Amino acid sequence: MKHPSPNARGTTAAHWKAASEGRLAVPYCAACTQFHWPVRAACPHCGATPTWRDASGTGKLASWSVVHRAVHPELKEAAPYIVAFVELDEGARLFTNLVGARPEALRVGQRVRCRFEPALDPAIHVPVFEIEDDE
Amino acid sequence: MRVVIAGVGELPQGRSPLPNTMMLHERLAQIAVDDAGMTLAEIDAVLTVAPRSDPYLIHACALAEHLGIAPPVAWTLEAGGAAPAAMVDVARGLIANGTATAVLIVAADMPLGGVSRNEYVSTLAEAGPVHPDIERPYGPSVPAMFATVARAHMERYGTTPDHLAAVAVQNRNAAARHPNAHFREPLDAGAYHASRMIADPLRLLDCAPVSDGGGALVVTGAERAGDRQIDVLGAGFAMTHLHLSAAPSLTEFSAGKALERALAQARLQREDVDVALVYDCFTIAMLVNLEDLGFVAKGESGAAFAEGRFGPAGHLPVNPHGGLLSHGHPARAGGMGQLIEAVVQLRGTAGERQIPGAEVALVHGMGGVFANHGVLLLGCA
Repeated sequence: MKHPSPNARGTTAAHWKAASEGRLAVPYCAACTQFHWPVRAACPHCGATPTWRDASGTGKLASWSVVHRAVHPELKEAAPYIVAFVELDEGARLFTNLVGARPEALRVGQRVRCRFEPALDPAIHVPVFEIEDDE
Repeated sequence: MRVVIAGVGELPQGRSPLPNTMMLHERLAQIAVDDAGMTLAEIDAVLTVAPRSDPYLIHACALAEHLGIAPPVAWTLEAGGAAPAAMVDVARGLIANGTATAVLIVAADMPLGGVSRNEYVSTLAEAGPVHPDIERPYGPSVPAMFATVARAHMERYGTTPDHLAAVAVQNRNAAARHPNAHFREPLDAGAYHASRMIADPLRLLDCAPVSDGGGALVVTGAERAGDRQIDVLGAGFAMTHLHLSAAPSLTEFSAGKALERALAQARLQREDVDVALVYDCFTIAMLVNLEDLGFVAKGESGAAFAEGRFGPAGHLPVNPHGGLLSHGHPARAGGMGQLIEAVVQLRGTAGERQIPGAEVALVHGMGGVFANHGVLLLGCA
């Protein structure tokens, strides 16, 4: 699926730049050693100034929906596709797509792993997730 | 100081026969002012929300200009579905401060007649509650965001599609008794389950329709209102996020905090509420909001709703007008139907859908995907 391009120069720029290099960069607070999402001016846990750190890219499925009717013209042909919330092992919860999964087999808590797909602007990649094998 | 709702105005929701959104505002304003036994010349404050179908720099000034009045206050307020409660609380402040004496509140929109439905649905996903940067690349519709809450609630608490169906069916049966409702044709669980999947687990009939509509009211001090005045007893507000990605939880939000603040202001308890108007842009919103408001234990709303506990003869009647789901969802004016129904119920003029003995009504509004909440407590004077 071709992802509508994010704003690669907005507050989340570091995240998109890292994704285009195959890394999952997430806001991290060195003061309380916790990750969070999305980008904020201050750590939601302790108020300190966050920085960025690469996460492992593994986590578990927190929720999902199979989108049967896409509203974006460029996604009409991709439907049905799965949008999901994934809770990283580091603790932050990301909104993403779950790719290559059978919807009827999904359940909350399943292990997921990050990979990267190009956006409509091929210079930008976005992190998506797939179910980890051998469960 | 006592502040009251002195007049209300509503027209049939659905596809408006009026040529444009400003004309709809004009008609609603006139009905509400007439209902209050006043004239437009007496209005010294106008509050509106910006309709999606009619962009102006300051919509309330455009409306006052169109109505041919020049009130000192003409302001447009942005609070999503919590805007009706927010505008009433702003009106209370204006009156208490002596800044205004008669506040006209109008919220209306014409997403069907004013712009194309498809254009509206796609703008909502582009500029609505979906984060343009971190959510949009993954292609969520607004129903898909609510669907992730529904799925999380189902997985955590065992809520079922039949529970969602119960909400859709009760609302439709209620709307059948409301002459202004958008959808009044009877609906059963079979029809619900046969409706097409939009964003699994949400079907078409889990989603509020796109409606032309809205409403108006006049808020005044108690000394000048007529004999059908309804007291504003308390108001409370809360927010946790704008985008669901930033919400602290996927299954629990802040409607209860808003209610607690309103109860404290009104010096009332939850048990005092006779009828509740709850924001139900999706079936799952009704269930989660009822839990968060504290009228049923967390996770038990689906079963309680299916048992009829929130039906017209239940423990706490909810949305006797059919809710956003069937009375209608007029885009940016969502929630005005709830506020007006509360006034009509407290006046005792709801006809065949009247809740007997309704003396205290709760009006809950919500913006975004459970983002912000506004609660009003209204009472018979």
